[in-house]
Amino acid sequence: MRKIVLICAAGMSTSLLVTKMRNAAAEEGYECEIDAYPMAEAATAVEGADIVLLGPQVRFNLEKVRSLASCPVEPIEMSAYGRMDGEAILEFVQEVLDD
Amino acid sequence: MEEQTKKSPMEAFTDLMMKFSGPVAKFAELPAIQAVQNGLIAVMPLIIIGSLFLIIALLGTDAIGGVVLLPFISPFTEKLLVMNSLTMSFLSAYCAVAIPMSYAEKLGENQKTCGVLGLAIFFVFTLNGVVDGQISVTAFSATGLFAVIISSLLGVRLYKLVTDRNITIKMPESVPPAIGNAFTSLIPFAVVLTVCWFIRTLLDFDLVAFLTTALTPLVSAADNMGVYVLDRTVSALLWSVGLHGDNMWTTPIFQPFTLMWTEENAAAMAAGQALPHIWTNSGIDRISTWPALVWPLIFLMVTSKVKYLRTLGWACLPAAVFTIVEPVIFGLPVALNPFLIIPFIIIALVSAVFSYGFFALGLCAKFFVTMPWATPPFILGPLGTGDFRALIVTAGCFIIGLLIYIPFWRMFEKHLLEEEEKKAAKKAARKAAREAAKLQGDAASGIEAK
Repeated sequence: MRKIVLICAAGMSTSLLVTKMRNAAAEEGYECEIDAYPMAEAATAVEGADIVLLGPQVRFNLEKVRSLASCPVEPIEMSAYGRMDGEAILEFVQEVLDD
Repeated sequence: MEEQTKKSPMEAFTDLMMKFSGPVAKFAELPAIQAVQNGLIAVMPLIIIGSLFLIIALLGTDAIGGVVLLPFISPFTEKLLVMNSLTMSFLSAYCAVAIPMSYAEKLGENQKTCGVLGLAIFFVFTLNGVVDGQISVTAFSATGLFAVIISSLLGVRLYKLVTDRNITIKMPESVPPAIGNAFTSLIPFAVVLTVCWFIRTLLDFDLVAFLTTALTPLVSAADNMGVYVLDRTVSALLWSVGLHGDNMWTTPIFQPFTLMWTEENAAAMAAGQALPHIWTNSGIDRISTWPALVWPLIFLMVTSKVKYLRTLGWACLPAAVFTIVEPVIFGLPVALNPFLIIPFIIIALVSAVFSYGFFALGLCAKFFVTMPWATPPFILGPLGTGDFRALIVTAGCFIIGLLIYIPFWRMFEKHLLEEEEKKAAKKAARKAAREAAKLQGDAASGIEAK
């Protein structure tokens, strides 16, 4: 069971992506828990996460979130984010986590 | 080779923006700045609740549009205003707890302890005693906001300084931690509060009054077209390279001011006075920026000749109504798109001049309350100002955006169509080649079979 945490400014736009990613995960039977949080809650949100993904618009916070989290922290690729391509982003997660 | 020369101005621009955004991001990441920001976020629900009560209360008076819209509310106006004055108008008192708590979180100190300390700092540092069972609540309102920000940040800093030096009373291990902690913070609390008391009561220095006379005229002067247009343009520049301009630039720098201005407008409205400010929190900016910068793009997408743009436009529409624009910014994309970032920045500038000018000329009543930022602009405007002419601001911004985008959009669309044609041509060529190969193969196998 993997815990995937998405972070953007207010947790709004990444929450749009969460649904897409959950669907993609359900389709291929990848067991994971995916949630979106605002940057303000980053410190508590990263607890217990296996991977943290940052919305490209808040990627200037990358170093800060890396210092908070003990797992990989990666920015989401701009065009995949724009297309809200849950599948591609899930694939990226699996690549990073070697699943 | 040709590709590279085409790309280079874009890359130069990105590099420039990244160089600029570095220090901005560093500023926004300072623990003290983040603490103020997170503290303000925490009190936002109270400000919005106060705003709603104020709107309802005013519907029972003739303050909105000169007519009593809901006469049955009139008898309760005073009672409804009580809620407003205890929530929205006590902005600084709530910040006095929320900011020290979020600063404590940033500094790795105990939040509960620092929340209590913050409230004590607020009382000792702003009030000079209780007279006849009454206290002055001047500092509770936006008037005290800057004093609260300064005193709570410095107070928590001093607390940490004393604690880090281990100037505390330590209890033996047999004492339960809850009791032990109370004693641990005894000396640091005493130091911080004595300093506050010394300044406020012994020296009789009133920071709230001092800042009001020294700083307020300066701060209030920041609510002008120049600063507003600069803010909108810089924010758009950051968005144009795909960074959250409002989050990394506007909020850390301007939110304390805009919140203060909102509360000052609300108080003036409740008192039946003229509203002092045009620029408020989630006000003019939210009814103009995205209707000018993103809504025209949605319109152009859904009416485009390119099928993929139509699909994308419809997909982006629902979120964009609530001014959630990331799908458009990254999906179209606008960010780093050589065709669109030039009009994007020009529109940000022009629409800011237009909307600020509209309010400055008195063509629309000013915002006196704040609403959640994702409220659709066509609801936010009339509700927040009590004036239907706020719709003209939103519509005007949309039209300005559309007119400026169109020539650039034509180029962008043409480019996409050409790309599509090229792709289609390549695909057709590949298909033809495959078929030819197949025919040849068939012929060859036919010969072999013979």
